[in-house]
Amino acid sequence: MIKPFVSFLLLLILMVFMMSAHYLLFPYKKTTQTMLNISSLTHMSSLALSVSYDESSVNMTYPEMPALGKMDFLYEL
Amino acid sequence: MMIQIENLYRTFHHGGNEVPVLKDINLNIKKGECVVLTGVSGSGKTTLLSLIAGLDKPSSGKVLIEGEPISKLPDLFASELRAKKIGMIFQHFNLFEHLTVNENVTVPLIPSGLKMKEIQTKVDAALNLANIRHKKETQAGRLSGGEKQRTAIARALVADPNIILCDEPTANLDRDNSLLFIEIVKELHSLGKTIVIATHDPLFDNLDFNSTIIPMLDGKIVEEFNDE
Amino acid sequence: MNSNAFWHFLTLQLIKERSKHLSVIFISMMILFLLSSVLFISSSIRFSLEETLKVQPDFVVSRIQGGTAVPTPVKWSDELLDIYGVSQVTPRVYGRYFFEPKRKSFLLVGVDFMEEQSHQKLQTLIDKTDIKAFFEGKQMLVGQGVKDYLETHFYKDAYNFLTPEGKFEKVTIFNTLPSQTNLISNEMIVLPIDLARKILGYTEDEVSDIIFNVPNTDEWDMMTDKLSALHYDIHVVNKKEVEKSYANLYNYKGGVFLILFLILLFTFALILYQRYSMVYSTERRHIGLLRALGWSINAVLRFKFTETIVVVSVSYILGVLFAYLYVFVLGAPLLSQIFLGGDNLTNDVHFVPVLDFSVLSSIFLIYALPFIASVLIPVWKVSVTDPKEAML
Repeated sequence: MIKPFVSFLLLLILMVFMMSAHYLLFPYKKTTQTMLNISSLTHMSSLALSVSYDESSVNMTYPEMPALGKMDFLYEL
Repeated sequence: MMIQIENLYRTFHHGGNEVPVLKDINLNIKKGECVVLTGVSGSGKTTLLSLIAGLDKPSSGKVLIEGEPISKLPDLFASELRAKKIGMIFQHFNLFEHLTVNENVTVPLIPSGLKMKEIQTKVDAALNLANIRHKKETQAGRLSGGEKQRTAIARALVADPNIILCDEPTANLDRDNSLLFIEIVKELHSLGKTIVIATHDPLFDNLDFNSTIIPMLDGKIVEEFNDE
Repeated sequence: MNSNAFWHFLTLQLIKERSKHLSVIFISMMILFLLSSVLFISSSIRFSLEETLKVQPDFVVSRIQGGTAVPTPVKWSDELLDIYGVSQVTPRVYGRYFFEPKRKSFLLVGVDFMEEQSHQKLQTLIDKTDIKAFFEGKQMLVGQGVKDYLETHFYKDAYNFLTPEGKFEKVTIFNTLPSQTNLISNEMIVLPIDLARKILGYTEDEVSDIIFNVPNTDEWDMMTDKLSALHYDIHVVNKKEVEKSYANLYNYKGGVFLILFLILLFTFALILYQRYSMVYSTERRHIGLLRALGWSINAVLRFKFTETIVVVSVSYILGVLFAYLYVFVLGAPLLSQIFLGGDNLTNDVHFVPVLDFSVLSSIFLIYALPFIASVLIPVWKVSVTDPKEAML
């Protein structure tokens, strides 16, 4: 193989190695445990969906029609 | 006999019309012989050369290289025959413009099974023979016509073939480079190579080494005589 | 063919013809980057959800009147405890508090810190702080998004909540919830339960809903019937339904994206085919020349196949690598909003790295096969032609 290609290949391997290291060394337990702590403290585990909860966006002509982009039906479960 | 051609016909089909380019060619070329096919444009000499090289298939008839019918062989054997026994120099050189001289000359040997070091040794020898070694690392697109010709020669010689085929080798060269080319052909002839040249250049009418002129006209061989 | 010479020539051609390959690699990389990013985000959210759902209560009961959720009576807890098989009955107080004038909202969650378990979990959550200080005065724990938003509106240390009675309750920000939990806690404010009641307008005998567990899953179906028989206005949700709704949500989003990308890939394959046909004359001449120089059809196909595989692999690796960096290191700015929304508070979410290798392999195959076919089919057509005709 010629040198420029070998250099490129080595760079690629290095990047893959760094990605693998990040993946393998990621503190899964700590992160998961912290999430579980909050969930069990608050008894809430629903996602923080950043959607508009403005109730005034109800369509008065068809009040039962769900507005587009609203996710609060999940919280009403 | 190195090259045998028996009852060779080649007809092209253009929009429903049949155009016979070669008609009943019979020719035997001995080992170490230098044959010059002469004739005007359209006489069929380039087509004949292509058929000898296995680049084209005849409409009927046979082309035998060292007794092997090249057009009837399976692709793997035909390619191997082309790679090891035939070196072709094209009219327009047909180099890989983006590769250097050295890289162009390595191309025929890549499928040969040799290691890179062995390939490089053969390439260096071919470059020396063609007197183009000093331009080894120059990109082919930047060479002059004569240098491109010498690169094409080196590429044709790198596998040490027994047969050298040259299609209008001096068509794109000036007189000095043409004479240089003739000198290289003379040297190859002295090494025992079988050489077939298709040309309409009058410089080849009076070669100072043993050669056979074969005039062609309208797809047929007109006559042959020895030049002593 | 000696592999040493073959690889030498292959890499030489790749480097020398890099301008031809770079555009293709770039487009492929972008497509794969987007596709992989979407899949990484989706997998990570699903993983985090599955983990947190483990501590989700089995059942949630609330009160519905006229189709709207109304405060649930606390006394329902006692009725639930009387049902055989029910355990860990806990009332919840939570709700949305709207911050004027931008109409952004926070999720207020009240926690009974007098309970031993809550006390311990609080200690774990803010382990380097003196927990006793938390119980002195009115204090709250806020999510990262809440903290940032309040700061931009000059509420650095405390915030005055307006209660339904028209009074202000000044609550001090004690600490910020860990940023690794932004996925669920970004908009959250954790308060003592009584304070939450006051701000949300609940009386002492009202809660938002009641949660409980039923350890025996075989009893779950019967449980819904039993609960429905208790009150006409009771609304029951069990954990399985929640899991299904989340799976459907992210499958839907994932599905839409996949369809879009399949269309994109198909278009890409067509473009590739057209592109490689456009360089056809040069490519055709090169293949004809290789054949004329003694390369067999197999040798030419092997060469072109390997060349394509290298291009495909490089594009794929770069696409996936950049997607990984974008999602799991940078937190997928912009793209995360498609999954988590961007109307309310900004969420600087940290995604947990999750690699689904079966999906990654599928992406590779879906991408690689049309690519290879679109390159190799024209190459094969030229290779089987007589070299002289190919070189014209």
